Amino acid sequence: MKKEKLQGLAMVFPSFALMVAVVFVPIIEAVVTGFRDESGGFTLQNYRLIFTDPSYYKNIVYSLSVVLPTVGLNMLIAYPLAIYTTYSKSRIARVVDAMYATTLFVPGIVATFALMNVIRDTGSVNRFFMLFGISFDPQLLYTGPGLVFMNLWFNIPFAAMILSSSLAGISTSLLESARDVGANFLEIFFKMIWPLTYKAALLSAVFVFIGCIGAFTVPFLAGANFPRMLGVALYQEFSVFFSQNMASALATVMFLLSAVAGGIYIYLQMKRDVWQNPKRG
Amino acid sequence: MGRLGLKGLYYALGVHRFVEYLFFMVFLLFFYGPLMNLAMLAFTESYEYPAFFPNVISLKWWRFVLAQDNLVASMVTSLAVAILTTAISLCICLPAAYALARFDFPGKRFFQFAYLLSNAFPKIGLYIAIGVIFYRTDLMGTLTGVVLIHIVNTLMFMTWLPANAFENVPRSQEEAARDVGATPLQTFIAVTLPTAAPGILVASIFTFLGSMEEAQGSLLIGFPEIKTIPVVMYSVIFDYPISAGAVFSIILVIPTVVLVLLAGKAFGIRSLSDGFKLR
Repeated sequence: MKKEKLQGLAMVFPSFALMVAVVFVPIIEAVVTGFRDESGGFTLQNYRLIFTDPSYYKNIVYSLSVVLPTVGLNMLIAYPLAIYTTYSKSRIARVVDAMYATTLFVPGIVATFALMNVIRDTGSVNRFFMLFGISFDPQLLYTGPGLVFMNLWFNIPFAAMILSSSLAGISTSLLESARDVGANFLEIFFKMIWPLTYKAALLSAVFVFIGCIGAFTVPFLAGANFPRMLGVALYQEFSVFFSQNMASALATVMFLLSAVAGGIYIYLQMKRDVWQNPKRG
Repeated sequence: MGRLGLKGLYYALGVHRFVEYLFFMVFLLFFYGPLMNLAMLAFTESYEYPAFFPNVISLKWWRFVLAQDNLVASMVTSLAVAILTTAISLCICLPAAYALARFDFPGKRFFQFAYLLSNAFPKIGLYIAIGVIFYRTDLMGTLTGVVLIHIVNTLMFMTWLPANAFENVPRSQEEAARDVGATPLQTFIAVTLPTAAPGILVASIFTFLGSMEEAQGSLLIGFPEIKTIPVVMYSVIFDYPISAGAVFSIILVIPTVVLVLLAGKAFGIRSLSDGFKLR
């Protein structure tokens, strides 16, 4: 029906137009502005600086050195957690399931501040050991490993949720029959669970990567002064130095880093109906 | 003594349960220890090193924070921004959600893809890109600018969650209404909307809470003219004693606790957090 088509387009238009105005136009503009010099002419100087000046490229290397271990560790912890909360019938598993999901509601800046007060050198980890007369400095706040630690708090629950909705799609009788014929946990994991859930795992890894590379609050409050995470470097460039051209170029680099991961994400999402939601497919 | 107790526990519970309890302890310490600690700090008057528990407990920092003029102002700002964000998102996203759920039109796949893509950019990079445009259009430091930044975050799930809700309304009920003579609009208001209401409500709650806690975009676009509670909290963390920040944190968490408890009671906590995955 022609009327239905027009009606559908008309109803999608307002939100789509807004999205174009506040997401796609700015991104295209940022890419263009990154090639501009002070007087508005074309230049490659911004990118040359980013990749040759240590004060810039060290930030990129540093960001990756925080984000990649975060993604790896995150998956290593989130997978067992999701398997446990999905398949265990114990009461503790139910409680854990509800409790980690609840952390997603804690405002980011509140959680960041809470974690800072645990790992700072006079924080509760240190004070706890002082109860026993042990002087132990975690030396985590304002360091890369500290950022990884804090990122894990934010991202484990998130990845575990995506994983567990995928895990829940595997029929337990399938797993039980494998158990019955004598498969151990590792065999079941690599032969059944992994092949059926690796897409969800990849998807959550991509989400975690993009989330951490584009993070601001955690590195701004709990990161070192140099090298900086990309998010903080961007903020400095934009809000402190007021250098819009340089900020745009840096933002473009951040987009490019995510583009690799984002490509996988989009590809999987387009197929989502088929593999994650079989009843609709 | 401690080791003996642990050993006793180990034999009493068996390996499996023992490991499970141990894991549960680590889980609680990691995820909830920091939050409990923060709650404790909010009621701490004196916290001398190296004491683990506060030396003096009081409401001193509550009085201090509540006496600040900019706190009430930032609460009003936060509330105004969150209400505007939710209302505007609802107005523009609900029609799109309905169309995506019910109509077949050219480029439907493309639109769904666009919503996804808009959510796939690293947040701070996107905000900077928007900021560059906002400088040119004089939207920096304005309420409009901050609300727009918040809407960027909500577009996708404000479309997807309600679309899902609309999809799940049984067509037979709508057809029945049409059969007894209701107009399409009457059917929508009397049948479709009430049935899809829980999904729409959950999406609205996300939008509202997401807006209340949004910190970085508001700092970047709104500061120093528009100061929401999270934006004020950045400077509280840098400039004030830890306990003041802890009090601020609790104030910031209150709307979340109230709304999540209410909505969790009505729809179940899992359906709420399921939606959060989309963010």
